[in-house]
Amino acid sequence: MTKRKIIVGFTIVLAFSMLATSCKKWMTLQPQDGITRQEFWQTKEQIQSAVTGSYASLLGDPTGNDKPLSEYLFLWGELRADMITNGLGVTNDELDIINVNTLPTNANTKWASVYRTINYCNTIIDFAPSVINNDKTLTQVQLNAYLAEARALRGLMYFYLVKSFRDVPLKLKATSSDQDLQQIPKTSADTILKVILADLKYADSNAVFSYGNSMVDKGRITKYTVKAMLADVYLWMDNYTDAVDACNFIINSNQFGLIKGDDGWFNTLYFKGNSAESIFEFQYDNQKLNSFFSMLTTNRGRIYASPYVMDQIYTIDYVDDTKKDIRGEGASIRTSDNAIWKYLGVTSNTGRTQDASFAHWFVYRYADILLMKAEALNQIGGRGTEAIQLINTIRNRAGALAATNTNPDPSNKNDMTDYILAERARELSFEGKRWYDVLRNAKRNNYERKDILLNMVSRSAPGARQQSAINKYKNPDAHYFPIYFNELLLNPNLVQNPFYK
Amino acid sequence: MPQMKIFEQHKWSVCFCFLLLGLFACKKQQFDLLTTTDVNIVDFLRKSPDQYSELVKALDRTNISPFLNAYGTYTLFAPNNAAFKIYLTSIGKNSVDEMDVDALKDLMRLHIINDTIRSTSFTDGKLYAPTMQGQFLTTGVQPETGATVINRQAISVELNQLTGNGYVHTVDHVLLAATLTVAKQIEANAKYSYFTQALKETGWYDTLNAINTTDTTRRWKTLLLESDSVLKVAGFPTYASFKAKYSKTGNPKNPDDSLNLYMAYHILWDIKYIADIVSFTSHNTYAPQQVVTQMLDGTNVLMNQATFNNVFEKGIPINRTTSDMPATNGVFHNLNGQLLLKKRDPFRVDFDIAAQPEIIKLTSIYRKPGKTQTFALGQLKDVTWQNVNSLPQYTSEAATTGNFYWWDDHFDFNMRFNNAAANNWIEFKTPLIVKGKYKVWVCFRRASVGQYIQLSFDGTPTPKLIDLTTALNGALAGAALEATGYKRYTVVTTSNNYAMLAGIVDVATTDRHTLRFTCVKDQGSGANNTSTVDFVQFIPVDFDQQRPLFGRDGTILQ
Repeated sequence: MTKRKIIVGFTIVLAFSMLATSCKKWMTLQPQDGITRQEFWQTKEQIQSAVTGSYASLLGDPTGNDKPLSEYLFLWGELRADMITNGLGVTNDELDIINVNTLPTNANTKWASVYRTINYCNTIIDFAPSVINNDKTLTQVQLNAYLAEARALRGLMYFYLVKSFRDVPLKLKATSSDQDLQQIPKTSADTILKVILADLKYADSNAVFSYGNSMVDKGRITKYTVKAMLADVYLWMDNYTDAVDACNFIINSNQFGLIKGDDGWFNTLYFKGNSAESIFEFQYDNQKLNSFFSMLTTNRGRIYASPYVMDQIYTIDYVDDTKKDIRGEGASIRTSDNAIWKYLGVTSNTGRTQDASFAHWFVYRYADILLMKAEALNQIGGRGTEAIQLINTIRNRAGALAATNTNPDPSNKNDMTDYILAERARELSFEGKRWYDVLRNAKRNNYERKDILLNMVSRSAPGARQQSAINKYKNPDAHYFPIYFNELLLNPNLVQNPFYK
Repeated sequence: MPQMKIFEQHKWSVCFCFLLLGLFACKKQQFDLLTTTDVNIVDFLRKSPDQYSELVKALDRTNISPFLNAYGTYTLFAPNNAAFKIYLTSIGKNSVDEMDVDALKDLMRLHIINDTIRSTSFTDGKLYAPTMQGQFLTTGVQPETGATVINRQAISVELNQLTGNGYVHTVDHVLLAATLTVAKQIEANAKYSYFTQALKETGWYDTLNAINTTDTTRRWKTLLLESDSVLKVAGFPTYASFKAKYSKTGNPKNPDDSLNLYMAYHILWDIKYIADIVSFTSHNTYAPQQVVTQMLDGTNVLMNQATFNNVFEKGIPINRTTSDMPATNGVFHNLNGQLLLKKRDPFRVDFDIAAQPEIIKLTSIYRKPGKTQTFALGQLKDVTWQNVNSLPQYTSEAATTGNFYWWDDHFDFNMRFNNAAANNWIEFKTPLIVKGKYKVWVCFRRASVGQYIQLSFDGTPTPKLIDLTTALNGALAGAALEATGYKRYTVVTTSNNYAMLAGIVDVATTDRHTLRFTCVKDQGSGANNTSTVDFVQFIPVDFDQQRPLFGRDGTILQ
């Protein structure tokens, strides 16, 4: 064997060994930095992770490019209503909505954050059922409970969309590959409400009562949460007896109550969160902060409470300053600068720091249930006295001032409606509910009480635009947002909402 | 020579190669000459001849197209073909070509504004910039449909179409300029016969009939009208009785005649639609040094509603449906009641600068012992200051304090001359002060460092500087002390809290005015460069300057 042969042989061996060891996976198409659907959906723990992921998507956009859902819900519920005013840092888009000048180019009308969560829910609903074939420890009851959570959450998301945009595209299948990208047209709000009810009824039959941990019970959907959602949806659909039944289920369970209105009330309910009063909250914590601190305070704060809130909603007792509605100064509002204190305070007079901005976002709490029941009772008719009792429970806890007690005749539906709505404003201030409360009461019986909405906008619109704003709101189409222009570019089957064409 | 031979063999193919090269090389490179492919307004219109062919024709014919299609900022209200058809039918023409070029040009210029205005800037009144024709366009919203209405004549078809040099708003009617003056329109309306007659007799008719283009400050006027029925309800069955009541000199042309003043008081400076009226609290009138005030109560615009010297005077509402009527030289509104010019005598104002409406609402702080609160710029609507980093502070004194403030509270602000950390000036909006001559007293607690401060009233500096350090001369009292420009204002004889005369101001109009504190000389640093001002007094010059005295519990000792 010559020297040359040895070298050639050695080289060949070397080359083969390189081929054999390197690039093992050069033919596989699986991504190496993630996990695919085919590999996932094997065990019940994976379903749980997926469900947890769908809740996590409520806290913020995973990519960090979009505003968190809670910020949208705050803006959608408050900007068009009469309880906020703009701060120095307000954006043009926010100001346009306050001025009743929403255009399809307004970035606050993006609905992606809602559809994102819907897609997470759809993914669970589509793929979780197959897990039962692979994981023998997963029972059908357990599986149904997970599906109940996903469907209830999807129902809630569609409910926000229907309340904000009316007719929207209805997508009930997961978008899990490029083939699933569909350009679907809008579905009418009535049809979507039926789908929401179907989702919630499924969840009602299959959701668990408790996860065995009171904190988790407030952050995940239980049977009580579903009942709260049902009550809300029934109220929106003017189905009052079912709304009362749903509320009664929660009230009679004795699992919930109002936190005593003492010195620790604010801290327990709003700072710590997950109290006995709470039903469902977005679970922000010190690892995942909400976006409210910079939005509501600092020298570039965007949104402040309207001066009208202390003056007329809670009112001030100028004679005896010991008489106070505990929900006003030091709870909803820091009266020295009208900052929205619910998201900024630790107690009534000490504030959060930026890194403690984890006030939970309230979806439902017990006080809301009592007031929803009162509203439904009033509409059923003949049960106004019961409604008054419920409102008094709320008012007594808060030490509401006599000036805000209009003493309505319990049999007078209109006066009662105004009274309940005013109490909702006091109790649920800045919790993203005001606009929807006003709209729900205004639109009832074919817009019988449009005056509620028009009076509201005459207060909240700036003087020079007041008449324009009133005239716009005389058209019910203006009570719903436009579809963001980019959605129309991406989906040619979408038609812009009527008021904005 | 083999090479030669090769060349011979291939010379044609070489030539062909060169030819080929020549064909493909040196193609002229296309550079983009424009920075954007966005079209400008006229090109935008040309793209949709089915909608805008008549408009383009009109713009071309009047030679407006060249500049409207060039660099600039414009807003065009573009009537579509249907709009032109309606308009041409109404004037009995078939095409814009048949129209007089100058008239057409005037018409087209009414549709163009030299600014970019999006629909989000539309209000209930006029747009903030005039058209090229000279008149203002108004905007509004049609009830029920919620559609945008332009100039009460056209409904928007499509808004906010962005082009390279501005916005195009398509409208369904051609916009028409007002052709009559305010005076002519009033005269034509039988409901306003009293006012027409009175305007003519007082000579204001001519003012309202003229278009003053030489003095641009007097180009526009706003007339507040009272209809005959309103005046009949007010107790004047005939014009004669109306005239008899107000015309005292017998010559209504005399500017001192009450009827003349009555009319002058109903004419406001400048063009003010209701949206403009509600944006300000008071408006100047042509009656010398007289203003009308305004407040928006719900949707009602009330003129001259005020609590004056503790008497509530109910405001006169504007009738919205018959108001906002445009004319060539202004706009007029119809009042639902009689707006009277009231003669008011000067009376003293004790302006507690700490009693700002926002502070009064802080019930746990306002006049509660030992409480303080700072305020950021923008939180107090009637107070502004120069330095955003310097926060004024409201202080209610603790029960143990040796200081002697009226109501025990004061409003403090840091003042230093030319200092980055403190304020050079701070400005307050005063309460309503009746026109007249007043002495201005600044009541404060003296500081050990203090700063030299000059007051200015409506921008006019007062003659005396305020030195916040000097102690009161204890040897003097009463008139002798007042003669030196100092006085006591407290019920006790403290030498720390006293008042200093800033000078005499001539209040020209009965209105709310601005009062500014300006620092004029630096006195060094230290905690005491805070100005601890209690309140400011405006006392008519012929009133007693020394009494009443003020107590820390709020007492006013006459």
